Amino acid sequence: MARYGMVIDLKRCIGCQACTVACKAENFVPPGIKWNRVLDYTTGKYPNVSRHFLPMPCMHCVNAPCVQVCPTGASYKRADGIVLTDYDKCMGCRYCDIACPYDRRYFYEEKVSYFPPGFIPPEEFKSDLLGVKAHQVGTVQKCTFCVHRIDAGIQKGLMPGVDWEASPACVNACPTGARIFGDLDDPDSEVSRLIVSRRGYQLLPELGTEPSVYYLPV
Amino acid sequence: MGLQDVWGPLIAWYLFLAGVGAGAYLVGVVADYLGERYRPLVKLGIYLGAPLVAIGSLLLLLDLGAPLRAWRGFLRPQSSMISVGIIIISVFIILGAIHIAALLAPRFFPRWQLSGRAQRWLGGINGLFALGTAIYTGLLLGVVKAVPFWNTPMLPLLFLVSALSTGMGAVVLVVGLRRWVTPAAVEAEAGPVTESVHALSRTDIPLIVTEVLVLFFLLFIMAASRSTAAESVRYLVAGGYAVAFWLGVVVVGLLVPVTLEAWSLMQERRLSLERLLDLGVVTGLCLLVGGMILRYAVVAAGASVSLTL
Repeated sequence: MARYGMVIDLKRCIGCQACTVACKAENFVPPGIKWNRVLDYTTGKYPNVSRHFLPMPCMHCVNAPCVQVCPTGASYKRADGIVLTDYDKCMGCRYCDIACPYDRRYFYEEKVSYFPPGFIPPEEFKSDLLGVKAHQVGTVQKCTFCVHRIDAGIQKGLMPGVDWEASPACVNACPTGARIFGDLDDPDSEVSRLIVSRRGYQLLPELGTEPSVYYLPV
Repeated sequence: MGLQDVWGPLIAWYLFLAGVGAGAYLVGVVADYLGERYRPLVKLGIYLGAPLVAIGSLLLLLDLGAPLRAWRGFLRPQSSMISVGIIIISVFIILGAIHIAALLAPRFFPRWQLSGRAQRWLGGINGLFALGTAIYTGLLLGVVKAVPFWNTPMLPLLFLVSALSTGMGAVVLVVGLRRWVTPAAVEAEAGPVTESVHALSRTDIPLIVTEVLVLFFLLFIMAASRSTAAESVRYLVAGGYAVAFWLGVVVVGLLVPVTLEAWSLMQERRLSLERLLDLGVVTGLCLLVGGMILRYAVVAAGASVSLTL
Protein backbone atom coordinates (compact mmCIF):
# COMPACT_ATOMS: atom_id res chain seq x y z
CA MET A 1 0.00 0.00 0.00
CA ALA A 2 1.19 3.39 -0.84
CA ARG A 3 1.46 6.22 1.65
CA TYR A 4 1.05 9.45 -0.20
CA GLY A 5 3.11 12.45 0.72
CA MET A 6 4.45 15.70 -0.62
CA VAL A 7 7.83 17.34 -0.74
CA ILE A 8 8.01 21.12 -0.94
CA ASP A 9 11.30 22.61 -2.08
CA LEU A 10 11.65 25.93 -0.27
CA LYS A 11 14.62 26.79 -2.52
CA ARG A 12 12.28 26.82 -5.48
CA CYS A 13 9.18 28.47 -4.01
CA ILE A 14 8.78 32.04 -5.25
CA GLY A 15 5.60 32.80 -3.28
CA CYS A 16 3.42 33.29 -6.36
CA GLN A 17 0.38 31.61 -4.74
CA ALA A 18 -0.40 29.66 -7.92
CA CYS A 19 -0.91 26.59 -5.71
CA THR A 20 -3.40 28.46 -3.52
CA VAL A 21 -5.44 29.56 -6.52
CA ALA A 22 -5.24 26.23 -8.34
CA CYS A 23 -6.50 24.51 -5.20
CA LYS A 24 -9.42 26.91 -4.92
CA ALA A 25 -10.42 26.37 -8.53
CA GLU A 26 -9.98 22.60 -8.42
CA ASN A 27 -11.90 22.06 -5.20
CA PHE A 28 -14.51 24.85 -5.45
CA VAL A 29 -13.22 26.17 -2.12
CA PRO A 30 -15.63 28.82 -0.71
CA PRO A 31 -14.61 32.46 -0.13
CA GLY A 32 -12.55 33.14 2.97
CA ILE A 33 -11.21 29.59 3.08
CA LYS A 34 -7.82 28.44 1.82
CA TRP A 35 -7.13 24.73 1.83
CA ASN A 36 -3.62 25.66 0.80
CA ARG A 37 -1.84 28.79 1.92
CA VAL A 38 1.60 30.27 1.48
CA LEU A 39 2.99 32.08 4.49
CA ASP A 40 5.06 35.08 3.49
CA TYR A 41 7.40 36.50 6.13
CA THR A 42 10.69 38.27 6.60
CA THR A 43 13.46 37.59 9.08
CA GLY A 44 16.48 39.57 10.22
CA LYS A 45 16.99 43.28 10.74
CA TYR A 46 17.51 45.97 8.14
CA PRO A 47 19.70 45.90 6.09
CA ASN A 48 20.27 42.18 6.55
CA VAL A 49 16.78 40.92 5.88
CA SER A 50 15.56 37.91 3.99
CA ARG A 51 12.14 36.98 2.78
CA HIS A 52 10.71 33.50 3.12
CA PHE A 53 7.75 31.59 1.79
CA LEU A 54 6.19 28.59 3.46
CA PRO A 55 3.52 26.81 1.40
CA MET A 56 1.20 24.83 3.63
CA PRO A 57 -1.31 22.23 2.49
CA CYS A 58 -2.79 19.80 5.03
CA MET A 59 0.11 17.80 6.47
CA HIS A 60 -1.86 14.51 6.30
CA CYS A 61 -0.17 13.48 9.57
CA VAL A 62 0.38 9.82 10.39
CA ASN A 63 -0.73 10.58 13.96
CA ALA A 64 -3.31 13.16 12.97
CA PRO A 65 -4.56 15.16 15.98
CA CYS A 66 -7.73 16.07 14.05
CA VAL A 67 -8.63 12.39 13.66
CA GLN A 68 -7.81 11.67 17.31
CA VAL A 69 -10.10 14.39 18.69
CA CYS A 70 -13.05 13.85 16.34
CA PRO A 71 -16.04 12.66 18.42
CA THR A 72 -18.13 11.46 15.49
CA GLY A 73 -15.59 9.73 13.29
CA ALA A 74 -16.14 12.29 10.53
CA SER A 75 -12.39 12.89 10.40
CA TYR A 76 -10.70 9.75 9.26
CA LYS A 77 -7.55 8.43 7.70
CA ARG A 78 -7.44 6.23 4.62
CA ALA A 79 -5.10 3.27 4.32
CA ASP A 80 -3.00 5.33 1.89
CA GLY A 81 -2.41 7.98 4.56
CA ILE A 82 -4.78 10.60 3.23
CA VAL A 83 -6.75 12.34 6.00
CA LEU A 84 -10.30 13.28 5.01
CA THR A 85 -13.53 14.64 6.48
CA ASP A 86 -16.84 12.93 5.88
CA TYR A 87 -19.12 15.97 5.73
CA ASP A 88 -22.19 13.78 6.30
CA LYS A 89 -20.92 12.77 9.73
CA CYS A 90 -19.44 16.09 10.90
CA MET A 91 -21.48 17.86 13.60
CA GLY A 92 -19.40 21.01 13.41
CA CYS A 93 -17.91 21.04 16.93
CA ARG A 94 -14.59 22.32 15.53
CA TYR A 95 -12.47 20.37 18.02
CA CYS A 96 -10.30 19.32 15.04
CA ASP A 97 -9.90 22.96 14.06
CA ILE A 98 -8.59 23.69 17.56
CA ALA A 99 -6.42 20.58 17.66
CA CYS A 100 -4.61 21.02 14.33
CA PRO A 101 -1.18 22.46 15.18
CA TYR A 102 -0.78 23.64 11.59
CA ASP A 103 -4.07 25.56 11.49
CA ARG A 104 -5.03 23.74 8.31
CA ARG A 105 -8.73 23.20 8.99
CA TYR A 106 -11.56 25.54 8.20
CA PHE A 107 -15.09 25.78 9.45
CA TYR A 108 -17.52 26.52 6.60
CA GLU A 109 -19.73 28.87 8.57
CA GLU A 110 -22.09 30.35 6.03
CA LYS A 111 -22.64 30.31 2.33
CA VAL A 112 -21.06 33.38 0.75
CA SER A 113 -20.74 33.70 -2.99
CA TYR A 114 -17.78 35.13 -4.84
CA PHE A 115 -20.12 36.76 -7.32
CA PRO A 116 -23.32 38.85 -7.22
CA PRO A 117 -26.68 37.04 -7.36
CA GLY A 118 -27.53 35.50 -10.73
CA PHE A 119 -24.33 33.52 -11.11
CA ILE A 120 -23.91 29.92 -10.10
CA PRO A 121 -21.62 29.87 -7.06
CA PRO A 122 -18.41 28.12 -8.12
CA GLU A 123 -18.55 25.84 -5.12
CA GLU A 124 -21.77 24.35 -6.49
CA PHE A 125 -20.88 24.31 -10.14
CA LYS A 126 -20.64 20.71 -11.32
CA SER A 127 -18.61 19.85 -8.23
CA ASP A 128 -20.12 16.38 -7.95
CA LEU A 129 -19.51 15.70 -11.60
CA LEU A 130 -15.82 16.40 -11.13
CA GLY A 131 -15.63 14.15 -8.09
CA VAL A 132 -15.24 16.87 -5.48
CA LYS A 133 -17.71 16.29 -2.67
CA ALA A 134 -20.12 19.20 -2.26
CA HIS A 135 -19.23 21.40 0.70
CA GLN A 136 -21.69 21.51 3.57
CA VAL A 137 -22.34 24.63 5.64
CA GLY A 138 -21.72 23.94 9.33
CA THR A 139 -18.97 21.39 8.80
CA VAL A 140 -15.18 21.53 8.82
CA GLN A 141 -13.23 21.13 5.59
CA LYS A 142 -9.61 20.87 4.55
CA CYS A 143 -7.12 19.89 1.83
CA THR A 144 -7.73 16.38 0.49
CA PHE A 145 -4.48 15.98 -1.48
CA CYS A 146 -6.97 16.14 -4.41
CA VAL A 147 -8.07 12.64 -3.54
CA HIS A 148 -10.58 12.66 -6.43
CA ARG A 149 -7.75 13.14 -8.93
CA ILE A 150 -5.62 10.43 -7.27
CA ASP A 151 -8.46 7.89 -7.18
CA ALA A 152 -9.61 8.59 -10.74
CA GLY A 153 -6.01 8.48 -11.97
CA ILE A 154 -5.26 5.15 -10.34
CA GLN A 155 -8.40 3.70 -11.96
CA LYS A 156 -6.95 4.66 -15.30
CA GLY A 157 -3.67 2.99 -14.42
CA LEU A 158 -1.84 6.26 -13.87
CA MET A 159 0.74 6.99 -11.21
CA PRO A 160 0.02 9.77 -8.66
CA GLY A 161 2.90 12.22 -8.60
CA VAL A 162 4.18 11.09 -11.96
CA ASP A 163 1.17 11.54 -14.22
CA TRP A 164 -0.42 14.96 -14.43
CA GLU A 165 -3.95 13.57 -14.35
CA ALA A 166 -3.39 11.68 -11.11
CA SER A 167 -1.59 14.45 -9.22
CA PRO A 168 -2.88 17.20 -6.90
CA ALA A 169 -3.77 20.51 -8.55
CA CYS A 170 -1.22 22.48 -6.53
CA VAL A 171 1.59 20.20 -7.72
CA ASN A 172 0.53 20.61 -11.35
CA ALA A 173 0.18 24.37 -11.05
CA CYS A 174 3.54 25.15 -9.48
CA PRO A 175 5.56 27.05 -12.12
CA THR A 176 8.93 26.29 -10.50
CA GLY A 177 8.30 22.64 -9.72
CA ALA A 178 8.65 23.28 -6.00
CA ARG A 179 6.03 20.65 -5.17
CA ILE A 180 6.67 16.97 -5.68
CA PHE A 181 4.07 14.34 -4.90
CA GLY A 182 4.45 10.63 -4.52
CA ASP A 183 4.63 7.46 -2.42
CA LEU A 184 6.65 7.83 0.79
CA ASP A 185 6.65 4.05 1.29
CA ASP A 186 8.50 3.50 -1.98
CA PRO A 187 12.21 4.18 -1.35
CA ASP A 188 12.76 4.75 -5.08
CA SER A 189 10.06 7.39 -5.50
CA GLU A 190 11.19 10.93 -6.17
CA VAL A 191 9.76 12.17 -2.85
CA SER A 192 11.63 9.53 -0.86
CA ARG A 193 14.89 10.18 -2.68
CA LEU A 194 14.61 13.96 -2.23
CA ILE A 195 13.89 13.63 1.49
CA VAL A 196 17.06 11.60 1.93
CA SER A 197 19.38 13.51 -0.40
CA ARG A 198 18.23 17.03 0.48
CA ARG A 199 17.54 16.37 4.20
CA GLY A 200 13.82 16.94 4.08
CA TYR A 201 12.24 17.95 7.38
CA GLN A 202 8.74 18.12 8.84
CA LEU A 203 7.04 21.04 10.59
CA LEU A 204 6.75 20.90 14.39
CA PRO A 205 8.21 17.37 14.62
CA GLU A 206 8.33 17.66 18.43
CA LEU A 207 4.54 17.19 18.57
CA GLY A 208 4.85 13.66 17.24
CA THR A 209 2.24 14.18 14.55
CA GLU A 210 4.54 12.73 11.85
CA PRO A 211 3.40 14.85 8.87
CA SER A 212 3.40 13.41 5.34
CA VAL A 213 4.51 16.78 3.97
CA TYR A 214 8.26 17.33 3.99
CA TYR A 215 10.18 20.53 3.32
CA LEU A 216 13.54 20.82 1.61
CA PRO A 217 15.64 23.53 3.28
CA VAL A 218 16.62 26.71 1.46
CA MET B 1 -3.18 32.19 13.20
CA GLY B 2 -2.22 33.34 16.63
CA LEU B 3 -4.88 33.37 19.34
CA GLN B 4 -7.49 30.79 18.57
CA ASP B 5 -10.70 32.22 17.12
CA VAL B 6 -12.42 28.88 16.63
CA TRP B 7 -14.21 28.64 19.94
CA GLY B 8 -15.94 31.76 21.21
CA PRO B 9 -18.25 33.05 23.95
CA LEU B 10 -20.79 30.22 23.71
CA ILE B 11 -18.11 27.67 24.59
CA ALA B 12 -16.90 29.87 27.46
CA TRP B 13 -20.47 30.10 28.81
CA TYR B 14 -20.84 26.34 28.45
CA LEU B 15 -17.62 25.62 30.36
CA PHE B 16 -18.70 28.11 33.03
CA LEU B 17 -22.28 26.85 33.47
CA ALA B 18 -21.20 23.20 33.48
CA GLY B 19 -18.74 24.07 36.26
CA VAL B 20 -21.22 26.11 38.31
CA GLY B 21 -23.94 23.46 37.99
CA ALA B 22 -21.62 20.64 38.97
CA GLY B 23 -20.26 22.67 41.88
CA ALA B 24 -23.71 23.65 43.15
CA TYR B 25 -24.90 20.05 42.96
CA LEU B 26 -21.88 18.89 44.94
CA VAL B 27 -22.63 21.53 47.61
CA GLY B 28 -26.16 20.13 47.89
CA VAL B 29 -25.04 16.51 48.11
CA VAL B 30 -22.25 17.14 50.61
CA ALA B 31 -24.64 19.21 52.76
CA ASP B 32 -27.06 16.29 52.64
CA TYR B 33 -24.36 13.93 53.92
CA LEU B 34 -23.45 16.33 56.75
CA GLY B 35 -26.93 16.09 58.21
CA GLU B 36 -29.55 18.51 59.49
CA ARG B 37 -27.23 21.43 60.18
CA TYR B 38 -26.95 22.49 56.55
CA ARG B 39 -30.47 21.52 55.50
CA PRO B 40 -31.10 24.88 53.69
CA LEU B 41 -28.31 24.13 51.21
CA VAL B 42 -29.38 20.65 50.17
CA LYS B 43 -32.39 21.43 48.00
CA LEU B 44 -30.97 24.65 46.57
CA GLY B 45 -27.77 22.96 45.46
CA ILE B 46 -29.58 20.06 43.86
CA TYR B 47 -32.20 22.29 42.20
CA LEU B 48 -29.45 24.44 40.67
CA GLY B 49 -27.20 21.58 39.50
CA ALA B 50 -28.77 19.80 36.56
CA PRO B 51 -30.64 22.83 35.10
CA LEU B 52 -27.49 24.97 34.94
CA VAL B 53 -25.52 22.19 33.27
CA ALA B 54 -28.45 21.61 30.91
CA ILE B 55 -28.52 25.29 29.91
CA GLY B 56 -24.78 25.14 29.30
CA SER B 57 -25.17 22.06 27.14
CA LEU B 58 -27.90 23.78 25.18
CA LEU B 59 -25.47 26.61 24.42
CA LEU B 60 -22.93 24.03 23.28
CA LEU B 61 -25.55 22.50 21.03
CA LEU B 62 -26.29 25.92 19.53
CA ASP B 63 -22.58 26.41 18.90
CA LEU B 64 -22.39 23.27 16.74
CA GLY B 65 -22.34 23.75 12.99
CA ALA B 66 -24.81 20.91 12.54
CA PRO B 67 -26.71 20.53 15.85
CA LEU B 68 -29.04 17.89 14.38
CA ARG B 69 -26.08 15.52 14.14
CA ALA B 70 -25.17 15.88 17.82
CA TRP B 71 -26.39 12.31 18.44
CA ARG B 72 -23.34 11.10 16.54
CA GLY B 73 -21.26 12.26 19.48
CA PHE B 74 -22.62 9.35 21.54
CA LEU B 75 -21.59 6.67 19.08
CA ARG B 76 -17.85 6.53 19.66
CA PRO B 77 -17.28 6.88 23.42
CA GLN B 78 -13.64 5.86 23.18
CA SER B 79 -12.66 8.33 20.51
CA SER B 80 -12.49 11.86 21.83
CA MET B 81 -12.59 13.96 24.99
CA ILE B 82 -15.85 15.40 23.66
CA SER B 83 -17.40 11.93 23.36
CA VAL B 84 -16.45 11.12 26.95
CA GLY B 85 -17.76 14.50 28.10
CA ILE B 86 -21.07 14.17 26.28
CA ILE B 87 -21.73 10.90 28.11
CA ILE B 88 -20.66 12.15 31.55
CA ILE B 89 -22.74 15.31 31.22
CA SER B 90 -25.79 13.44 29.89
CA VAL B 91 -25.72 11.00 32.79
CA PHE B 92 -25.31 13.90 35.22
CA ILE B 93 -28.26 15.80 33.77
CA ILE B 94 -30.52 12.73 33.74
CA LEU B 95 -29.66 11.60 37.29
CA GLY B 96 -29.81 15.22 38.45
CA ALA B 97 -33.29 15.60 36.96
CA ILE B 98 -34.39 12.38 38.69
CA HIS B 99 -32.99 13.76 41.94
CA ILE B 100 -34.97 16.98 41.51
CA ALA B 101 -38.10 14.99 40.69
CA ALA B 102 -37.58 12.89 43.83
CA LEU B 103 -37.35 16.06 45.93
CA LEU B 104 -40.42 17.64 44.35
CA ALA B 105 -42.62 14.53 44.07
CA PRO B 106 -43.90 14.42 47.70
CA ARG B 107 -45.47 17.87 47.22
CA PHE B 108 -47.76 16.58 44.50
CA PHE B 109 -47.98 12.86 45.23
CA PRO B 110 -47.62 12.36 48.98
CA ARG B 111 -47.11 8.63 48.57
CA TRP B 112 -44.09 9.01 46.31
CA GLN B 113 -41.42 9.44 48.89
CA LEU B 114 -37.81 8.47 48.22
CA SER B 115 -36.16 7.61 51.54
CA GLY B 116 -33.35 9.87 52.74
CA ARG B 117 -30.97 6.95 52.41
CA ALA B 118 -31.92 6.35 48.79
CA GLN B 119 -31.58 10.07 48.05
CA ARG B 120 -28.09 10.13 49.52
CA TRP B 121 -27.16 7.12 47.41
CA LEU B 122 -28.44 8.87 44.31
CA GLY B 123 -26.57 12.02 45.30
CA GLY B 124 -23.38 10.08 45.98
CA ILE B 125 -23.39 8.37 42.62
CA ASN B 126 -24.36 11.46 40.68
CA GLY B 127 -21.86 13.44 42.76
CA LEU B 128 -19.17 11.45 40.96
CA PHE B 129 -20.65 12.51 37.63
CA ALA B 130 -20.79 16.11 38.88
CA LEU B 131 -17.11 15.85 39.70
CA GLY B 132 -16.55 14.33 36.27
CA THR B 133 -18.43 17.20 34.62
CA ALA B 134 -16.33 19.82 36.43
CA ILE B 135 -13.07 18.04 35.60
CA TYR B 136 -14.10 17.40 32.01
CA THR B 137 -14.43 21.12 31.26
CA GLY B 138 -10.72 21.45 32.04
CA LEU B 139 -9.65 18.25 30.30
CA LEU B 140 -11.46 19.31 27.11
CA LEU B 141 -9.01 22.18 26.70
CA GLY B 142 -6.16 20.46 28.55
CA VAL B 143 -5.62 17.66 26.04
CA VAL B 144 -5.14 20.04 23.09
CA LYS B 145 -1.47 19.70 22.22
CA ALA B 146 -1.66 22.51 19.66
CA VAL B 147 -2.39 25.09 22.38
CA PRO B 148 0.47 24.89 24.91
CA PHE B 149 -1.20 27.31 27.35
CA TRP B 150 -4.04 24.81 27.84
CA ASN B 151 -1.93 21.68 27.60
CA THR B 152 -1.00 21.46 31.28
CA PRO B 153 -2.39 19.60 34.33
CA MET B 154 -2.87 23.00 36.01
CA LEU B 155 -5.81 23.78 33.74
CA PRO B 156 -8.22 20.99 34.78
CA LEU B 157 -7.22 21.68 38.39
CA LEU B 158 -7.97 25.40 37.96
CA PHE B 159 -11.34 24.68 36.36
CA LEU B 160 -12.23 22.11 39.04
CA VAL B 161 -11.43 24.45 41.92
CA SER B 162 -13.21 27.31 40.17
CA ALA B 163 -16.23 25.07 39.52
CA LEU B 164 -16.52 24.22 43.24
CA SER B 165 -16.03 27.86 44.23
CA THR B 166 -18.52 29.28 41.70
CA GLY B 167 -20.95 26.48 42.66
CA MET B 168 -20.83 27.76 46.21
CA GLY B 169 -21.25 31.26 44.84
CA ALA B 170 -24.43 30.25 43.01
CA VAL B 171 -25.83 28.58 46.15
CA VAL B 172 -25.03 31.46 48.49
CA LEU B 173 -26.47 33.89 45.95
CA VAL B 174 -29.77 32.01 45.87
CA VAL B 175 -29.82 31.60 49.65
CA GLY B 176 -29.49 35.38 49.89
CA LEU B 177 -32.07 36.08 47.21
CA ARG B 178 -34.60 33.82 48.95
CA ARG B 179 -34.87 36.38 51.72
CA TRP B 180 -36.40 38.83 49.25
CA VAL B 181 -38.87 36.29 47.89
CA THR B 182 -39.96 34.42 51.03
CA PRO B 183 -38.68 36.39 54.06
CA ALA B 184 -40.86 34.43 56.49
CA ALA B 185 -39.44 31.05 55.49
CA VAL B 186 -35.88 32.32 55.85
CA GLU B 187 -36.59 33.90 59.24
CA ALA B 188 -38.12 30.64 60.41
CA GLU B 189 -34.83 28.79 59.93
CA ALA B 190 -32.50 31.66 60.77
CA GLY B 191 -30.16 29.41 62.75
CA PRO B 192 -29.43 26.80 60.07
CA VAL B 193 -29.27 29.51 57.36
CA THR B 194 -26.63 31.46 59.28
CA GLU B 195 -24.78 28.25 60.01
CA SER B 196 -24.92 27.25 56.31
CA VAL B 197 -23.66 30.58 54.99
CA HIS B 198 -20.76 30.52 57.43
CA ALA B 199 -19.96 26.95 56.43
CA LEU B 200 -19.87 27.97 52.78
CA SER B 201 -17.49 30.81 53.60
CA ARG B 202 -15.25 28.53 55.65
CA THR B 203 -15.03 26.08 52.74
CA ASP B 204 -14.71 28.65 50.00
CA ILE B 205 -11.77 30.54 51.52
CA PRO B 206 -9.31 27.63 51.18
CA LEU B 207 -10.71 26.98 47.70
CA ILE B 208 -10.05 30.56 46.62
CA VAL B 209 -6.57 30.44 48.11
CA THR B 210 -5.95 27.25 46.13
CA GLU B 211 -7.35 28.87 43.00
CA VAL B 212 -5.05 31.88 43.38
CA LEU B 213 -2.07 29.56 43.78
CA VAL B 214 -3.01 27.36 40.82
CA LEU B 215 -3.62 30.40 38.63
CA PHE B 216 -0.28 31.88 39.70
CA PHE B 217 1.57 28.61 39.01
CA LEU B 218 -0.13 28.27 35.63
CA LEU B 219 0.76 31.79 34.51
CA PHE B 220 4.25 31.75 36.00
CA ILE B 221 5.29 28.42 34.49
CA MET B 222 3.61 29.13 31.15
CA ALA B 223 5.34 32.52 30.92
CA ALA B 224 8.64 30.63 31.17
CA SER B 225 7.52 27.94 28.71
CA ARG B 226 7.33 27.76 24.91
CA SER B 227 6.94 31.08 23.19
CA THR B 228 3.31 30.39 22.26
CA ALA B 229 2.26 29.75 25.85
CA ALA B 230 4.18 32.84 26.94
CA GLU B 231 2.25 34.78 24.32
CA SER B 232 -1.03 33.59 25.89
CA VAL B 233 0.15 34.74 29.32
CA ARG B 234 1.24 38.09 27.94
CA TYR B 235 -2.16 38.52 26.33
CA LEU B 236 -3.87 37.83 29.66
CA VAL B 237 -1.76 39.85 32.07
CA ALA B 238 -0.55 42.70 29.87
CA GLY B 239 -2.31 42.49 26.50
CA GLY B 240 -5.85 42.79 25.22
CA TYR B 241 -7.37 40.96 28.18
CA ALA B 242 -5.35 42.62 30.95
CA VAL B 243 -8.23 44.71 32.33
CA ALA B 244 -10.70 41.83 32.25
CA PHE B 245 -8.13 39.55 33.83
CA TRP B 246 -6.88 41.78 36.66
CA LEU B 247 -10.18 43.48 37.42
CA GLY B 248 -12.60 40.69 36.52
CA VAL B 249 -10.81 37.50 37.45
CA VAL B 250 -8.38 38.58 40.15
CA VAL B 251 -10.15 41.45 41.95
CA VAL B 252 -13.87 40.72 41.45
CA GLY B 253 -13.61 36.95 41.18
CA LEU B 254 -11.05 36.18 43.88
CA LEU B 255 -9.94 39.04 46.14
CA VAL B 256 -13.33 40.66 46.82
CA PRO B 257 -15.16 37.39 47.65
CA VAL B 258 -12.37 36.04 49.85
CA THR B 259 -12.26 39.36 51.74
CA LEU B 260 -16.03 39.47 52.21
CA GLU B 261 -16.11 35.85 53.35
CA ALA B 262 -13.27 36.32 55.81
CA TRP B 263 -14.88 39.50 57.14
CA SER B 264 -18.29 37.88 57.61
CA LEU B 265 -16.65 35.00 59.51
CA MET B 266 -14.74 37.42 61.74
CA GLN B 267 -17.98 39.27 62.56
CA GLU B 268 -19.52 35.96 63.69
CA ARG B 269 -22.81 36.70 65.49
CA ARG B 270 -22.47 40.46 65.36
CA LEU B 271 -23.82 40.47 61.81
CA SER B 272 -27.62 40.47 61.48
CA LEU B 273 -29.12 37.76 59.29
CA GLU B 274 -30.16 40.38 56.72
CA ARG B 275 -26.67 41.81 56.47
CA LEU B 276 -25.14 38.35 56.26
CA LEU B 277 -27.45 37.33 53.44
CA ASP B 278 -26.94 40.58 51.51
CA LEU B 279 -23.22 40.05 51.86
CA GLY B 280 -23.79 36.53 50.50
CA VAL B 281 -25.57 37.94 47.45
CA VAL B 282 -22.63 40.24 46.68
CA THR B 283 -20.10 37.47 47.30
CA GLY B 284 -22.04 35.05 45.09
CA LEU B 285 -22.36 37.55 42.26
CA CYS B 286 -18.64 38.35 42.41
CA LEU B 287 -17.70 34.66 42.36
CA LEU B 288 -19.95 34.01 39.37
CA VAL B 289 -18.80 37.04 37.36
CA GLY B 290 -15.16 36.21 38.08
CA GLY B 291 -15.63 32.55 37.15
CA MET B 292 -17.30 33.47 33.88
CA ILE B 293 -14.55 35.93 32.91
CA LEU B 294 -11.94 33.32 33.86
CA ARG B 295 -13.43 30.81 31.38
CA TYR B 296 -13.78 33.47 28.73
CA ALA B 297 -10.21 34.70 29.18
CA VAL B 298 -8.66 31.23 29.17
CA VAL B 299 -10.57 30.24 26.03
CA ALA B 300 -9.74 33.50 24.25
CA ALA B 301 -6.06 33.42 25.21
CA GLY B 302 -5.44 30.01 23.65
CA ALA B 303 -2.56 30.69 21.28
CA SER B 304 -1.93 27.91 18.76
CA VAL B 305 1.56 26.62 17.99
CA SER B 306 0.84 27.50 14.37
CA LEU B 307 1.83 30.98 15.54
CA THR B 308 5.46 29.89 15.56
CA LEU B 309 5.50 28.66 11.96
